[in-house]
Formats: sequence, C-alpha cells, structure tokens
Amino acid sequence: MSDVTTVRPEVTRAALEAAPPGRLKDDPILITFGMLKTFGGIRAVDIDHLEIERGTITAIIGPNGAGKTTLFNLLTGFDRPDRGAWRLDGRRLDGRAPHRVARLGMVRTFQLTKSLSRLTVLENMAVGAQTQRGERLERALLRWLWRGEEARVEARARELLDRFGIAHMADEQAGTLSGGQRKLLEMARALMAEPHLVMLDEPTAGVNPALTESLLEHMRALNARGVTVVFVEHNMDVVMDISDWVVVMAQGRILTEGPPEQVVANEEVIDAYLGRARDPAGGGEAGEANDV
Amino acid sequence: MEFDVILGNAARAGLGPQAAIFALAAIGLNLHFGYAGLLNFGQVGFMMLGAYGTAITVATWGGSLWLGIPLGLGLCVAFALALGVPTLRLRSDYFAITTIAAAEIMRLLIRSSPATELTGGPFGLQTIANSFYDLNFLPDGRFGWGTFTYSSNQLWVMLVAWILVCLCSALVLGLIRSPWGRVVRAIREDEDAVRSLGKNTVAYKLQALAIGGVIAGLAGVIDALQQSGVGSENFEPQVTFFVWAALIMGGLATTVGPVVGAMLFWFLREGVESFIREFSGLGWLPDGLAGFLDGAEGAISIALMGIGLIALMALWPQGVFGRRRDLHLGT
Amino acid sequence: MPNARVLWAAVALIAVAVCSLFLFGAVHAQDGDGDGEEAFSGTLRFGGEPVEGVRIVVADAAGEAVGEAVSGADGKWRIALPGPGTYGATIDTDTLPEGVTLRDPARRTLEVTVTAGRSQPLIFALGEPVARGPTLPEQLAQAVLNGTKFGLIIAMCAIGLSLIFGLTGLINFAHGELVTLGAILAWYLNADTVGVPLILAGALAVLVAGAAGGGVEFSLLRPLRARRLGGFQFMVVTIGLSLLVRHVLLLLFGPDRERYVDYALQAEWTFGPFAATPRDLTIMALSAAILVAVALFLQKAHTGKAIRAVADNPDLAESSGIDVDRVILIVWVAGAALAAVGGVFFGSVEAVDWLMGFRLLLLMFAAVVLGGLGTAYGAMVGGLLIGLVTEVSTVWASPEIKAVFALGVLVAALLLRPQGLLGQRERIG
Ligand SMILES: Nc1ncnc2c1ncn2[C@@H]1O[C@H](COP(=O)(O)OP(=O)(O)O)[C@@H](O)[C@H]1O
Ligand SMILES: [Mg+2]
Repeated sequence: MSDVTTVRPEVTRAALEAAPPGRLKDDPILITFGMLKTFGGIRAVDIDHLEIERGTITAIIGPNGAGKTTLFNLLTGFDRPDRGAWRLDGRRLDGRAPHRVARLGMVRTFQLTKSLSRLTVLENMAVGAQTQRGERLERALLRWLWRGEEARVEARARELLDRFGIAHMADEQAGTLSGGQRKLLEMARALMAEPHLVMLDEPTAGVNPALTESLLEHMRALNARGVTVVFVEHNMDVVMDISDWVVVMAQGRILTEGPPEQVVANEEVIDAYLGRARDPAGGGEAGEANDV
Repeated sequence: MEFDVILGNAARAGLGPQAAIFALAAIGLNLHFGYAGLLNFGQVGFMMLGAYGTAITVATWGGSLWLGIPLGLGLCVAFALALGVPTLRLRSDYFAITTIAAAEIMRLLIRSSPATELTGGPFGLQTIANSFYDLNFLPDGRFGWGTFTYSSNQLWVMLVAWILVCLCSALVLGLIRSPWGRVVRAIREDEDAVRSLGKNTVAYKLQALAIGGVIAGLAGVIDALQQSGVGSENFEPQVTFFVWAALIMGGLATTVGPVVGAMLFWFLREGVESFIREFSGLGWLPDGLAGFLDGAEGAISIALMGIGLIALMALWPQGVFGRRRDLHLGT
Repeated sequence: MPNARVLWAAVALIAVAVCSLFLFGAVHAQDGDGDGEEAFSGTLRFGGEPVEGVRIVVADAAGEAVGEAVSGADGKWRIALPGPGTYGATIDTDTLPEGVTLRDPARRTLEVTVTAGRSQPLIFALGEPVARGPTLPEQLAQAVLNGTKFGLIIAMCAIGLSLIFGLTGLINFAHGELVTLGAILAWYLNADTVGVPLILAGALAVLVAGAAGGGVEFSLLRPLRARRLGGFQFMVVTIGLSLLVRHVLLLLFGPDRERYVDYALQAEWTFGPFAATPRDLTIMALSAAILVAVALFLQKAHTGKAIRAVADNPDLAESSGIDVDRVILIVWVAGAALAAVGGVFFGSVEAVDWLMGFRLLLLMFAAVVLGGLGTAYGAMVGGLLIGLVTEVSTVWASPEIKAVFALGVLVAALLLRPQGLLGQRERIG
C-alpha cells in the first residue's frame, strides 16, 4: 500500500481514504443505491452507492466487461436490475421505461453508434426533439397544429448541426455519414432532447484524433451550459484532460472514485485497469488491495 | 395463340377487385414493414377478421352491414393489440413467427365445428352484401367492351374498392410525412435509439400495426362484399405471402409501390394461367402432358411466382419503385 | 477425423434403427398387402368380441352397388371390387345386433380409393358413442402418449429450423417443404408402382432431402450471402422456395391424402391405460434415439462443437479458424435430413399430403420460439411441449382446434420468458 505514496508522492494515503467508493456529493443529480444485475452467474453490475455531481463531467473507466454499458442500460431503463433504486433530481427512476427516463432529462448514447440510416440527418435531429406534439397519432394529419413547431425544431436542429460541423450533410441520408460524423450526429441528436444529464457510452471510440478533439470541445461546451455529462472512456489522456471526476469500475463493482489525478495514482486502478506495467513496485499485492 | 386474349385476361385481373383487395392489404403491410419495420406475416388474419366481422354481424346476427363493417375493423384493432402487446417488445423474428401462427390458428378456429353456429365453419357465410349493392347508383346493364365488360354491380364494387385504395394510400402518405411518421420510420431504423430519445416505441408500433391492420381489414370487407360471402379457404397463410410478393414487386416504403405491385401481381398471375390454358389448348402437346396441365395452371402459376420471388431478390431486390441505394443503407 | 466418425455413427444408428422398424413392424403388419385382386375387407369388433351377421354394401362412384358381404363368426368380411377406383362402403346399421352401435354415426359410409391389386382394409368402429368412453385419466394417459409421439416428431423436424436460424439468422419458411418432400418421396417409392419397402424408401427419401437441403444452401443461399443480401431478402427467398416446392409437389402428388402401403394398419397393443401400435412405438423409440444422437453429436463431436460455436457468435467462430460456410452446409444437410425423417414418421403415423409440412411448420415455429430461437435443445424441448399441449388439449377440446393451444402456450411463454426456455437475452448497447 505504501507503494502508492512513494510512486506518486503528491497523493497521500489520507487523501485516498477520504475518497472511498460511493462518496457523497454536495449536489448530486443522480443517486444510486444497492444496484445489482447478474447474467447467469456473472455479477455484471454490483454497486452499493454511487452519486453523480450536478454540473460536472464524470468519466467512467474500467476494463472491457467491467459493467459500464450494463450500468448505463440499467440507469436509463433499457435493462432491469435484479434489485436497486436510483433517483434523478430526486425522482425515482427504477422501473421506468427508457422513454420515460429520457423525458425526465437523462439521455444516453450507445457504444455502437445508432444512426437512423434511411432518415436524413435533419430528420435524425428532429426525432430528438421533445416538443413536437405532431408526433401524436391523433394530430398527425392536422398539419396546421404542428407546422409552426416543425419550423422551430428545424431551426434548432440546423443550428446544432452547424455547431457540430455537419450542417452541410443535413439533407443527406444518415447512412451515408462517416463513422466519426455519426458519433457527432448521435451526440447532437441527444442534445435536441435538451437533457439535464447526458450519458455517453464511449463517444470517442473509433473516432480519429481531430474529430475526438472536436467531440471533447462539444462536451465541454455542453457542460459549460449547465448540462451534467457522464461518459465512458478508455483513453486516459482524454479522461485526464476533460473530466472533473473519475469513477473506476471493475467486475461490476466501483473500485474507487475521485478527481482524475488522484485516481490514476491509485494502486488498485493500476492493477485492475492500467496494467501492472505502469506500476514498477506493486507486483503481487492485488489481494491486499481489495480491502480499500 | 391468342395473345390478345391472354393480355386481355391479365389486364382484367390487374384492374379487377382482387387487385384492389390486394392493394389495400399491401398498403397496410407497407405501413407495417416498409415504414415501421414490423415483420408481419399474419396480414391475412386482419383480412379475415374484417371479412368475418362483417359477415357474422349480417348473416349470423341479422344486423346491419353498416354496423358489421366497423365491427370487423374493430376486431382488427383488437387483434393488433392482442398480437402486439406480448410480442412487440421482443425481437422482430418472434413477431414474424407469432403473426403467421396466430393468423392460421384463428382460421382453424373459425372453420372448426364448435364455431359453426357463429362462422358457418367450413361452409362459410353467404348473402351479406345486399345493403351494399342497394347503394349502387350506376344504371343497370353491362358496360365496357370485349374482355372488359362489367355488370353494374361489378363496376360498383370496383369503383368503391379503388376509391378506398386511393384514400388509404393518401392516408398512409399523410401519416408518414407527419412527425408521427418520422418517429415510426425512425423505429424501423433503430428502435433503441428512438427509445433513448424519449419516444414510447411500443405505442408507435402498436398504432402502426393497428392502422395497417384496419386497412387490411378493409381489404377483407371488400372481399366479403365482392363475393357476398366469406369462406375460410380464402384466408390461407398463402394469401399473406402473395400480398408480400405484391408489395415487394411494387417496392417497399413507397406510396404507389403496393398498388402497382398488387396490379402487377394479378396481371402476371392471370397472364400465366391464361397462357397455360391457351398453350395446352393448341394441341401441340402430347396427350399426357396436356392432361397434366389441365386444371393445373393455378399451381403452376404459384410455383412460377416462387421462382419469380427468388429471382427478384437475387437480381432486383428493391422492387419496381424502390431505391437500390436504400438497400445498402439498411441496418 | 472424429467429426466424420460421429457423423457416420449417427447415420449407422439411424440405419439400424430404421431397419429395426422394418423387422419389428413387419411381424405385426396385418393383411392389406396386395394379393392381386382389389377388395375391401375388415373385421367388425365390439368391445373386443367379433360381431357376426352384419351386412356391408359397396357402391361405386356412380352409386351403383357393386358388391356386398355379411361378417362371419370371426367378425371378418371381404368384398371383391370390379377394379381400382373410389368406392363407398356402407354398413347396414339395421343388421347390427341389439345394443351395438357405430361409435361415430356419421361414419356409416366410408369413401375410400383403392389402388390396383390391393385389398384395402376398412374400419367400422363399433362402440357406444359417449357412454362407455375411456375415463378421464385414461384419456389423459393416452393423450400424453400421443403428445410425446408428435412432440418427438416435431422436435426432430424443428432442429434444423432452429439451428439454421442460429447460424445465419434466417427464418426458413421452406423448412416444412423438406418435411413434405421426405414424406412424399418415401410414399412414391413405397407405393405399388415402385414397391420399395417403406424402410428403404424412407432412407432414400431422407438422403434425397438431405441433398436437397445442401443443394439449396450451396447453390442458392451461399452465393446470395456473398452478395450481402439482407436478412429480409433471404426470408423472401425461402418464401419463394416454399411456394415453388410446395406447388411442384402438389402438381406431382395431387391434392389427396395418402397412406403408406406398409404398416398402414396395425393392431394396437395396450399397456394399462396406454394403447399404441408397434409402428408408433417403434417410431417413438427411433425419434428419441435420433434426438439423443443429435444431442451427443452437438456436445461431443468436433463438428457439433463448431456448430454451437458458430451459433453462439459467428464472427468469433470465424476468427478462431472455424470454416463457417462448411458448418452451415452441414447443418442444412443434416437439418433437411432430420426434417425428412420427421416427414416419413409423420406420414407413417398419420397420412401424407402436399400441405403436411406447411401445417407442421407452424407447430415447429411455436416449438422453436418456445424453446428459444437458435438452439437445438430448445427446439427439442419446445417440440415436445408443443406436441404434449396440443394432444392433451384434445381431451377437453375439439381436435380441430388443438393448434390453438400451441399458440396459447407460445404467447404465455413470450410474456413470461421472452428469450425462450433455453434462449439467451439479446445484448443492448
Ligand atoms: N445480455 C447479456 N447477457 C449475458 N451477459 C451479459 C449481457 N450483457 C452484458 N453481459 C456481461 O456483463 C458483463 C459486463 O458487460 P458490459 O456492461 O458490456 O461491460 P463494459 O461496457 O464495461 O465493457 C460482461 O461480463 C458481459 O459479458
Ligand atoms: Mg461497454
């Protein structure tokens, strides 16, 4: 244990112990208790307590199979946990269908990008809007009821597309976009829903460095306007660069959480995620590390 | 060989009430699969409910036709809900299999002896369409020329049927161009993405299923009116496949596709049968083969249609009006 | 190669089993084989006792009487016919002894087609209509036995359907036609004109159907896969195929129901509440043996493991060096052959007609969804369940609507366990 302090002298044991998993936040937007999800014998997610601070950018890191995507699925209602309760802004979300979760202001994206291929980019954006009441069957044929709103939705969509740099593709079918452009589109589409909290599952996976930079810019800009951002990321440079807070998952559990500088220094994180190669002195102590 | 006779017969079939009935069923199916991505293989079940709902009201209960038709269409909505609620949350393969099984099992129920009092069992129900033909304002007599001669009542059914085809096409077009239709088409592309954007996708799918089902129910109603009766043998699973064939020929997710496809389907089917009849009547064939062909043109034309479907998928999978480009954007 | 060995072992097992059917069944097969002259014959029994002195009249299609006979002391009767054709045999109910009635009064006249040189057995079932029927537990026991029989056959037919879905994501609408193909081919070979014993005819039919399945995959579906057609287009291809094959079979076979010449009529053996013909028992034993062989093959054989690996994750299997195309081809051949075995069995137990496979397809669909799409074991469990449910329902409900109960089970299962009994949940995200 003492290795940590010697490798990274600026992180003290006391500081680490002050940040156990499930730390209370001053103003949490999302609170989760006792969340368990098993697949067969595997405990894919097993979290006693997790809070997300309002207005921050929180990174969730962890090796493949750690349960990050499953956690997203559970929180957003796409999958049901074996047990657990969670609240968004004080409202209980457990048992709510995904579309209700989204309407309450928590909107997610997917690890494998989901563009609506045979709809135009503009139509993709319009689907994200929550204000179009012409989406109800009984008004669908009464054009005059929704024409005005349609114009407003389109204006907002074009503005967002412009910001994301894909305005020139607005009238193309989304299936013709490149992989990186689809990631941008998916994020922009999520913003059409005007969420309080966005959950981005590996937004930069498979995106070239230039586009990654622009994606990160958008995340910062979003955050600057008060939206809370939670994202899954594998690239530690990105995590260090952008996040205010880092949650580390492994085998379904939260190993630790804390500010990025602190977390990268944690021996357990190094064991579980970053690999022993980066930890010259820590060999063979994985067993002891479990008692944090 | 009398090519003009063959062509005439084919064209008559392509314009006839059967083509209009298929067009309606295909319009509904186009909403289901072409726009909402629902793999419905039980379309004939909706047609059957429309037809039987109408016929039972009139023939069994002695009610009015104008009560029977809404009742039949109401049954279609009920069927859509009963089918959709357990299966629409699941992956599409389950839906496909459940729909084909449900439609056929309903047919078995309808033709079973315990149901005979209600449905006429294997004998079906007759004389149900009198109030419909009472509305016929066309003068008596025969109209047209040559192969295209129609009685007043035939013309009346065709008129009503094709007007309904136009109305339903317009209805679907209007729906699809609305924000509602945008969500429905988005669900076809990726349901999870749409759910993550706050849309209750199951409700949209149920709505699409019910509307397409009611349009197919109308097809069944027209069928019942046209024959002035119903029989369970008209609603075998095969019919669903034929409607699919028509829709695919015309092109998925287009407005005119289902209509043109249905006309083309009947044109080709009757053309082939007519051709076989004419051909074996020429006396060129040895007696054995001619005897074999006699009365077999129906089966032959369906077998050829099978070949046609395979060839169509291999060579021209987007249909007549579909866009090839779309095919490769699919998920 | 171990996989080839197991395959051959399975083939040998099937062959031995099929031969045993021949030997076993041949001993118990009743008369009814051709003796050169067309005739109707039968034995009248009431409660196990022969019934004497009952008059039976035969008329030809035009309604002209062509012969009559009175049952002897052993209950037997026989009426020579003027030639092949369709005749109506009517039992004169006035000549029945006091207290003896037809079990089904509607079946006073039987319309039967007689082929050349064949003595056609007819059964006029005597017995009290309802009063002296079997008790409920007896009926249930019998229904369970019948349900197991049909369940085993459905399971066998459905394995290929489920595995093909598991490997390629394809719902094969033409799978039922493989069943019909097997049944009709065996009928054709077994019929009087060719006269091959049913065992051999069945084996040949199974080989042909297996080859046909392989042919479809190799020469049609594989090239289309190479052209990257979508799942939906493949489904339409199999619909086209099913329309084509079904109607070609209709053209060749005709619209009537036919029975195999061999083992058509056998005395039932009774064991307590159960009654079954040796033929049915043999078929059940064979089906069970084949299902076990398939399970062993999937579990132990190299190719079997490869099949499961591809069904589990095609990309992973491909990258770990499995020849996916070859695995798919094997499954098509084996699945088609199994479907044809099921067809021959079903034709033997019931009758052969051009639509039998398509009707069975709906039950197979129910079975595979119930068990979990894509797994062989799911198809087996689901098939058995569907067979049991449909047959047991006939204890209370009209047999015409027994398929309705299959759907009922299916919907209930979908509500309770959407991934099927043995299936896995899909991943999200
Ligand atoms: N639908 C499922 N069925 C079975 N196991 C699953 C399913 N989804 C996820 N898992 C398992 O749960 C664990 C967590 O997976 P996941 O949440 O995708 O991890 P991550 O996103 O962190 O890479 C893994 O072991 C994975 O195999
Ligand atoms: Mg993940």
